[in-house]
Amino acid sequence: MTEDVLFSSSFGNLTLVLLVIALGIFVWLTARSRNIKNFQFQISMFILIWITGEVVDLLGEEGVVEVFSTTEIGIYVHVLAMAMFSAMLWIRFYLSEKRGKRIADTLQEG
Amino acid sequence: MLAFYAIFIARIQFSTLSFRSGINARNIITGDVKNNPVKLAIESWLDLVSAVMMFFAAIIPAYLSLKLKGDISKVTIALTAFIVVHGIYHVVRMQGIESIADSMFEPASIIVLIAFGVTYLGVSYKKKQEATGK
Repeated sequence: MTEDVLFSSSFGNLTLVLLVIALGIFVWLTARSRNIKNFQFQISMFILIWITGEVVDLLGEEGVVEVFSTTEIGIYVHVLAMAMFSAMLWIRFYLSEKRGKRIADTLQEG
Repeated sequence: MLAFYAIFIARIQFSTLSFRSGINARNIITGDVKNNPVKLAIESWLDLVSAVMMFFAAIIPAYLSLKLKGDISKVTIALTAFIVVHGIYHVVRMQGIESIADSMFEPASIIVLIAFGVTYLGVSYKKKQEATGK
């Protein structure tokens, strides 16, 4: 059981490290464009929510916070991130169609 | 008896939807703390919801990848690849193969996300260079 927890938490740590790298790239892109309405900022927010879910999950797995290990808060936060990401893409597509603007232009802005 | 047959038929019909309340070798061998059937069933449903949302989101970049030409198509292809790999991660997790999903598909999807970020960075840098060159 200990080995299993260690195995899963080591991959949890790897996931977290990779997510922080991805967040760094998109925060850098947002800083370069200096516009919080753009796609890069929204992706950064999505990654930040995802990281929050991962941290909650890890704290639960390692038994640091008892509430997190007995409930599925981490997974709910992960689902929230996915819902936000999906909604973000569809809303951007809908608004670009409505304004008669290509979505590629909205992706390239900034 | 009728209920038994109903459950038996349902298990055959929905064998692809393995709601992890059933036999999970990993949990039996390791005595995992996640051996709670209710918790596992909830997790499976959440994975199903996430997978559906991801594949639904993949429609837009996939459509743009087919429609667009040039550098921006590389960005949309990378975004589509990330969404599809992450969707597969949720499907694999839903099937109960949590260890493979967490150790392989989740890091793979984030590596593709990083590749998407690097491609985006490269394309925006190139565009900026072209704009200053003019």
